[in-house]
Formats: sequence, C-alpha cells, structure tokens
Amino acid sequence: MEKELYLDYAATTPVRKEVLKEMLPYFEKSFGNPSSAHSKGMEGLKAIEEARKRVAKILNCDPKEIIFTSGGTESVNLAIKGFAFANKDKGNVIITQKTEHSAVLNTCKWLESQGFKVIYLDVDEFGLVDLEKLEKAITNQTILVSIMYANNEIGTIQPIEEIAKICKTRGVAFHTDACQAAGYLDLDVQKLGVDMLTLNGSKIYGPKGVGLLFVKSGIALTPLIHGGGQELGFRSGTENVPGIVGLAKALELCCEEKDKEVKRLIKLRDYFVGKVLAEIPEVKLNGHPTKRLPNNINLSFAGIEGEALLTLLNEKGIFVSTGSACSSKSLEESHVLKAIGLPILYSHGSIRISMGRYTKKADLDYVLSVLKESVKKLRGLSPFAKNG
Amino acid sequence: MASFDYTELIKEHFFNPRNFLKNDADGAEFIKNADCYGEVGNPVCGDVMKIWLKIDRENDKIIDCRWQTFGCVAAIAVTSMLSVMLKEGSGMSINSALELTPQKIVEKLGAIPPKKFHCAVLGNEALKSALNNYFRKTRQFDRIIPIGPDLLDEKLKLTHKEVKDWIRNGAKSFEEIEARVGTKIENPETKAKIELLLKNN
Repeated sequence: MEKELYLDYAATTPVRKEVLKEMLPYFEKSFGNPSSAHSKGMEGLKAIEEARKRVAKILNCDPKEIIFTSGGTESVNLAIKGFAFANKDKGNVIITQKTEHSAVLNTCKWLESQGFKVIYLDVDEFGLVDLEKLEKAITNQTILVSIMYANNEIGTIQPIEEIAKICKTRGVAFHTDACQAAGYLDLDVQKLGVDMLTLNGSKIYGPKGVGLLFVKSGIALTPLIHGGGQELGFRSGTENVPGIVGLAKALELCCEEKDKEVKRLIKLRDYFVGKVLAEIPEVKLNGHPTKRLPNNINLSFAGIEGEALLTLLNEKGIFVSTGSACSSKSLEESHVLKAIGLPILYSHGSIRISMGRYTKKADLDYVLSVLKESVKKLRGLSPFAKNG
Repeated sequence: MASFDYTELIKEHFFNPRNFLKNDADGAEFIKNADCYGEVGNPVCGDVMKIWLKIDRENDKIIDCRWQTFGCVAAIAVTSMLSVMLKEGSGMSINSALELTPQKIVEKLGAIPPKKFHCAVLGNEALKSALNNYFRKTRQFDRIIPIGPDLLDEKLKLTHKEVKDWIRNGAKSFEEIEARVGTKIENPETKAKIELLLKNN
C-alpha cells in the first residue's frame, strides 16, 4: 500500500499535537488524584476545573452544568436513563427518532424493558424529523425528547432550535447528541435552547475515552455510576484528568477554526459530490443536499455491496466506512438508510466518506478515480448492475 | 462494518475473480449456449448468485461455468472458488457436484469468518439450483435436490423458496418462472400456487 488516505473522520479523529502536548503532563508529572487533599491532588483538581471553565465558555453555560464522562455513549446513557429514572413520577414516555446513533436507540430499547414507552419518530427522505409530528406526539405523559444534532451516517442537520422551542412550550426536557456537530455547528446551548447536550473527544481531534454532558441547572438526573461522588455526584470515579484537559483543548481549537474549516469543507464536499454524480451512473447522495455536515459524503451505488467496495478502496489505501453490515444470515441494511426509504438495491451499496482537517482536494481527485474504477469492477460481477 | 479477517486466498479470489460472466457479447454467447442456469438469494436479503453451466451430457459432467454475484467480499470469493472447483481437471462429474457442500467450498478457501458462512451456503445452493434446472430440462426428476423444505410441486421438486427468489430477482410472469424451471409446468395446482406467489411478491 503506497498511499494512506484516511476518510473516516466521523468514526474518529487523530489527536492533535497541541492537544496531546497539553495532556502529557497529567500522565506523569501532575498525576495526582483530584480528590486528594495534598498539592499533587490539587494540581489535578485545578486542571479539571480549569477545563470545565474553558468548556463552559464555549457552550455558553455555567461550569457547574458540565459533567465529564467516559465518552458519547456514557453521556447519552446518563442523559436518557438518568433523566427517565429521576422523572418517572412525571410520566413514562420518551420521544426520539429512527435515525439516532445506536447509543440512543439501544438505551431507549433497554428503557422499554424497564416499563418506559418510547416513540421512534419517522424521518423524511432526507433524514429530517417532522416538527408537526413531533409536536403531536408529545402528551402529558412525555418527559423527554432526544433528537441528534447531526446524523453520523448521512450528516443531516436537525432544526435543534425549533425542536427546543417546541419542547420548552410543552414543558418537556430536550437532549441532543451533538457528537458529530462539534467543530462544524454552533454549540451555544443558550441559543440552541437545549436542556442536555452530549459531546465527546474522539471526533474533534481530542482523546478517546472522554466526553461530556451539558445538563442545564434544575434538570434532575439519577446517576448511573455510584462511588466517590465526583462530578457533583452525577458521575463517580476518579476523573480522567489528561482526557478532560485534552477534551477542553480540542474543543477550543475546533471551535476557533470552525468558520474557516466549514467553508473549506463545504467547498470540497460539493466539488466531490458534483464530480461523483456527474461521472458515475446510478449513484445517489444520501441525506440532505444542503442541511448536512460539511465533512459528510454518503453515497449509494446501485447493484453493488458496501463491504466489497470498501475492501477495494482499502486496497488502494483509502479508508472509508459502510453502513451495510453482514449478519450471520444475510446482508443487513443500515437502519438510517432504511429510515430514509432508500431502495434496497441502493442501500446495500453505500459508503460514507467523512473528511477532516487533513483532507485536501488532490486527495479527493484520487478517491474519485479509484472509486470510478472500483464501482465499475464490482458492477461487472453483479447481476443487477448496468455497466458504469 | 469492515471485516478483514479473510484468508489470503479469499482476498486473492475477490481481487481477481475467475470465470465470471461478462456483460458483453461473449457473456451473451455463453448464456445462449449454456445447458442450464441457476439463481439463489434475493436483493432484499442481500446476496444474489447466478450460475450458468455447460454440461457434457454423455459423460454426465460439468465442462464450463460462469457466474455473477451481488454481495460482499466472501460471496464473490465463494462463487469464484466454486467455479474453479467445477472446472478443475476435465470438469467435475455431476455426481460429485451433487455431493459438494458449503463446508467443502470453505475448506478450499482455507477458512471463512463464521458470520460469512452463509455465503458458502448460498454458493452451494446456486450450483444445486443450476443442476436442478438441468435435471428438469432433461426430465431426471429423481436427481433433483430441493432447495428449501417447502415443496410446491412434488414431481418437479420445486420449492417456495426457489420461486420466491426468482420473483424477487425479477421474474414477472408464469412464463418466466417456467423458463427458470426448465420444463413445462403441467400440474394445475402448482400453476395456481405460482400465480398466487407472483401476485403476493
């Protein structure tokens, strides 16, 4: 393999040098436990409280409203389960949508086994939730709405401010999973009007194993992890000090560079999508043409299968991801592509190309040429495909 | 979701597939001269395999084959390897082909990730489907191996699964089903059942 071209930034990102540099002292030199009363402990405590302030400044909230966790999945679990348990006297219905990340969907599914009722809203062909349907679905039994900011597979951006307004009017709490949004979309929680917001480090050039949950003051949560009472009692366990410091730094950097990076990536995205649609027959862009993440390109090629395409690209050093998965009996289409009603011949042949800060136009030209060749090769073997 | 725990041989067959049917004049010529044709799977479940065979009737053996597959890396490698096995030496005898199992195809490939075993099952079924087509054409009904447990026609040993797959792969009329069976369908009960499947699928 001569070339290595990583285009799976929506899965995870490398840690930036500036981020790593800030983290390093907290592994060896300032390794103290923030709960310890001595000076070594104070170093750790100061670091996480400083990080909390830095994050709060970006989210435009009070530092006390930030809970550090082990990542996006834990934040989502704490938001949804923690809220459901703490508010079960008020009602037992949670509303979400079919295209959520499995962290949300499987948390909700588990809550159903605990006596809660979950409504999974449909989305339209672009992956957008219907606000009227959402409003109609809310009853006096509804306690929580959880709708992601931007979709991890197809990049569709939901109207978070409008959803927040509906929830506020109806007296229902609103959580949003913003893991894919950071670095590309506005994270001001006052402006967004959300009650809870999930973020993680591994998608923003920060470390893995660290995330956060913004919880508006006054929102009651039942903690999931019990112990020493860290994170204001919401999340026990010795804090991941280097991780938390890294998360704060990564968030600062990606928000500082947001406007410039968004412009650059939208240009690249639209250039590449335009080329693919013009030069490869029977291909669809999944998701919304404009209400989509600047770095997300999700394509479906009729008549071929995603893993096979991914393998051919991998051989040429191009790393992307596919929504289709092979289960023990058959191919399984992605729940997101199913929800947007993509025809079955297309949905099996989908790949997600997610760009990042190291992606350049020349890289995309190389991907285009390999993609054309690979699609043609697989279609040459397929009983369903016309040659392309 | 990627899985790169494939053997070198699987990857080799995936990157350089053997004996596949090309969508060109040569491919059309092969189809025209093929003695039989089989297809299994359907796009709803994912993998689809089609196989065309040329048969030496006198010596009761397979002498040539072509295939097309819609599916993952393993599905493509399985069909490619199967085609090599069928053509090995002077060709595989039909009796040997009838004894072929998914396991034997996997052994030839070295190993296959457990969740991909169904690809070998499908490959084996594609072969059996093609042989059944030949047996029905040549009225050797006793040699047919039914594909799936739910028989639709006793004599033809035609199953619901076979017919459903054909419909999902594009067969729209009774005549097109009959063409895939390889012989006239005389039993009025079978006719009625197929018409019903055509209506409901």
